[in-house]
Amino acid sequence: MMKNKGSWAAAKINFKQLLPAYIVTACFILVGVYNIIACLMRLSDNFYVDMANYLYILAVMAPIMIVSRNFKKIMFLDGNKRAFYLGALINYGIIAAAVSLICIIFLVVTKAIFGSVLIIQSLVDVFGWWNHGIAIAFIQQFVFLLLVEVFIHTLTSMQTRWYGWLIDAILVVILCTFIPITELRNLLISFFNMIIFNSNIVMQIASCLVLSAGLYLIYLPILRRKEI
Amino acid sequence: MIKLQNVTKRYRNSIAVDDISLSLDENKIFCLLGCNGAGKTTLMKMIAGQINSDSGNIEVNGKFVNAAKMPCDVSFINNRAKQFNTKLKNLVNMAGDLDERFDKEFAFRMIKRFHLNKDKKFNQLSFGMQTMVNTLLSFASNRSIVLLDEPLLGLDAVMRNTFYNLLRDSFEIKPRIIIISTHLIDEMTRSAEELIIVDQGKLLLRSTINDVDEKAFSVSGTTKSIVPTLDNLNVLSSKTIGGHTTAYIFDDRYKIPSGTSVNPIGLQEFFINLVGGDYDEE
Repeated sequence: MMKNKGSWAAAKINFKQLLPAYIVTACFILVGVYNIIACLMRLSDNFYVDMANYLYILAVMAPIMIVSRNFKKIMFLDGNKRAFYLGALINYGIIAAAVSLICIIFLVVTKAIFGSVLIIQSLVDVFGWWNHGIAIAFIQQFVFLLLVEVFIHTLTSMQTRWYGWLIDAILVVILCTFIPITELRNLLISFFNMIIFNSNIVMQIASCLVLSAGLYLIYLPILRRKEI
Repeated sequence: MIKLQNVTKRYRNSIAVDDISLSLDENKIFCLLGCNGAGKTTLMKMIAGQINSDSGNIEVNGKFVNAAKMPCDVSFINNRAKQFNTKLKNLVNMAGDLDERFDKEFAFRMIKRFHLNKDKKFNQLSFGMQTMVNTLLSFASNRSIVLLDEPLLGLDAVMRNTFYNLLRDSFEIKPRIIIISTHLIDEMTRSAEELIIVDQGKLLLRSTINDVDEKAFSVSGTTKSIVPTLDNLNVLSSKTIGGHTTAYIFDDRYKIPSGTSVNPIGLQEFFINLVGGDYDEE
């Protein structure tokens, strides 16, 4: 019980200490607000990117800050690694759920109000999740965001070690070599099809969850070895 | 209980901790002394499981310690640690939320006693006050082992005095192993019971303060009268100017020859002569 309390406390601290991420996200949302006003006032064309999509920035920035800044400071408060490990997972779960929910709600509301006058673009639509219904779209987006957060978390945590740089280099090499070569590009496409554009909903959800679990398990030995 | 067995830690080409074996099993206040770069902080970090040793074993309360197995019985907050830039009351609440053993009431009492403003943010505090906050967070942790790395750094005389009172009060309320590294050597004799001196990564001496008081002294007189009496004694260092010699001794077997003057030496002088002199542990 005490250990779980520590995890929730670590999660609570992380949420409170993400101010730069909140500010950057808020700035982008303001751009979204300007965008919708400009569209409605015919200052620009009627192509509107749903402002809730900018919340994806929070999902990208949160793990970077949690790993690179909050970890050490939680340790400075005599926190323990287990609490941090579970606490960060709680953060990612809540952020993914909240972002996904807000994106869905905004899309529903925006479509209802401005659907007739604006062309509304949302990642839920682009990724094809919207076609599966609101509840499924929420889950698909949730698991995808969770995967993104966990991937960034694990990648960021490696950056202080040689293998982190090696992974960075490998990722760059993969992107640079896979894209121009058709066979390899198809491999890359099938990977993204699996985690994003998968027509098989269960497969998409399962692959995101399995990859998230795998990546977070990879983080465990990194955290255990991490020196303060 | 803390037990170190042949612990060594290297940083690239330099050895920070060199084959130290040490066992601390009584609830006492220990003073860890050493020059800058002697390996004090490294030693503390290894005991707290914040860094790994390269070789040797560290046990805390019977459990092996390393970065993968950080001991939950040890509180070590580096006094240069930059905490979250939030109000002090939030920091105390955070620490309390992270660990149920943390005594928030004690922490708030200490904040008041040190005239710290609990509504001030951490970065708004002076260096000395930040150090004090880190120290009181450690004391309030209620853990059985508290490691304080230079907790007196940046504190004025009044705050240092309050720190010693806090140390005594905290130890009275909860007797435990407290290890304090400091450069203010003489002041620590007011509170510490045992001395651990490290130099260039090696354990140079472990002794009680009383032992040092009783055995450490300087003797001066003519070289002819002094030098022959020093054989087989633990001589920390000696200086000869002209025909006059002063020797610093840590031994209780000394027989005072006539024509010499013997003076007790303070802890600081003892330390300087031990570390800077030609001391041989054998």
